[in-house]
Amino acid sequence: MSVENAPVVDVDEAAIPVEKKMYYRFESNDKKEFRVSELAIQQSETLNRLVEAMGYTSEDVENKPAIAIENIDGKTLKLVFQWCEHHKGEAIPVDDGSVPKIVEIPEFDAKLMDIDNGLLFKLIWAADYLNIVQLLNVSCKKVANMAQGKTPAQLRRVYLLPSDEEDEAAKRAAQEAQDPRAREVEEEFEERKRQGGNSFF
Amino acid sequence: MGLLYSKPLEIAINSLSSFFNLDWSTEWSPTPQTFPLFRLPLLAWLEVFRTLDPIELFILSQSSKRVANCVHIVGSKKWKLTVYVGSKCIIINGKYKLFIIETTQKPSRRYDKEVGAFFIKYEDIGNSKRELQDVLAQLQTAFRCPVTTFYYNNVKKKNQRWFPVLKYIIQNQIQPLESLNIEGTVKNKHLDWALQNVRVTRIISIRLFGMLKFTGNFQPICERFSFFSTGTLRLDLMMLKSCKLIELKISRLTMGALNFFMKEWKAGSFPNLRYILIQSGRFNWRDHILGFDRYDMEELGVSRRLVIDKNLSIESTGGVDIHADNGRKATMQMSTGSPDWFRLIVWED
Repeated sequence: MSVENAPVVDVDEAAIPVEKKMYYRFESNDKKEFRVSELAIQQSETLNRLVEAMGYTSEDVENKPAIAIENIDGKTLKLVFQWCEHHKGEAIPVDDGSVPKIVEIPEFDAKLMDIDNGLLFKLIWAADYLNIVQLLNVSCKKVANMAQGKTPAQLRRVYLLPSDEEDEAAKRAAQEAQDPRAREVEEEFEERKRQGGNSFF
Repeated sequence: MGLLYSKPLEIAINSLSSFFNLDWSTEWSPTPQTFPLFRLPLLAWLEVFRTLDPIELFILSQSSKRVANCVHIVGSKKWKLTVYVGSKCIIINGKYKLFIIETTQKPSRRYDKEVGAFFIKYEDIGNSKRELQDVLAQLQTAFRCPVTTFYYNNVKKKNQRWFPVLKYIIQNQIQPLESLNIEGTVKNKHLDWALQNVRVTRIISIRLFGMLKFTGNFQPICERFSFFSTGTLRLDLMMLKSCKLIELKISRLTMGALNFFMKEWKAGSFPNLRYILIQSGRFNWRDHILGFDRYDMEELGVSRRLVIDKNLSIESTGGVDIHADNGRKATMQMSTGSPDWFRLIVWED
């Protein structure tokens, strides 16, 4: 197990209230360990509820095994916790349901998300899984920005969307896989039509 | 319910479910240029949709039928479309503009972020009403939202493209329009059809130029009814009983007809009416209205203001105060010079 002993970002001790000065330990699915402040954890509804339910003391945090986050790898989790530490103490935005949703990407977040699309993809999954509302907002905004100025054909390429023809072909393939006889029946029907018969029976 | 809205919700949900893939596997090979939108969790791609503006969302919806079938989950059913037939423009939520441009070149699309408008260039095939109708159909298929406002403004008689577009809208949505505005030269039979068949909740505004005569036989159920005609306009005021505001300019109403109307109002036949303005070339000085002559009703004396709503208030000076049988107070006013007009202002208390 590789352990990253230091917090993922520098902590301003003065800025953190004494009673909040507890660091939890989390472990990614590739066995990377992270220490995250209690205040930063509050950005994640999932983790916040988890640690509240666990009711760990400072001793428990040190003595018990790190809390495992099974489906997020270390590289992604590092980004997540860096984001949480940077935004700790900030209010969690409340969705007013308006469309289009106005989301500004702060400079720190833009730099944090200056990553390849594969990692961005994982970061969004992680933000969704850990229920980090604002991280989900900014990361989805980054994906939405990819649509700017694109034509429908370009959007198909960018977002890997199947065309109508590809959808049709996939649907036919799925039907055939489900019922191999269907194709034969269809061919037989076409053949009878060609021969001038108007009834299948 | 029209065809555009008849697709059951389950089909939409099924189409969404087919996109929603919880598999974390790495079938997708990440490249700098691509991002597998629909391999994100449902909430995440919904967030992506929600941060796109309606025009970007519309362009996305044009990428495939499946996408067109699911963009409405952002809640676009509540959106409103305004159709400007004359300028071939559709505005979404009063803000996002979509222009349709005829071109001899291959059809193309361009989104100008600075102007905040989307331009669709269509090949000119000599049937220009089709493009607007087609784009409208695509928009409504994607967003499943109604047209709420319809504008037509054109003085060329041969350009009657407004009518098939309006007919298409009315035949494909159950929601009434909020506002119907027709301005220009239109065929009597088209206008008659529109006034008979289009349900409007707030404003009907008709301004006709160059039509010789129009006889209206319809009963609008809207708040505000405004009709202006340079030709002869015959309307039965009794058909306008549900309106709150009525403006008729250049009508053929006589003082006798006005007197009859006022007797009906006094008896309580126009419970919603707050304001009526009638201009007519047939008012005389001889006849009276409810026993008052034109000098009794002239604009001299105290000024008052009637606030209809936040956008509209009417200044009133002088006139003669009257009471309806139900105690409602009102003021009748009449011009003593050209143009000839009559006003009734009904006070709240």
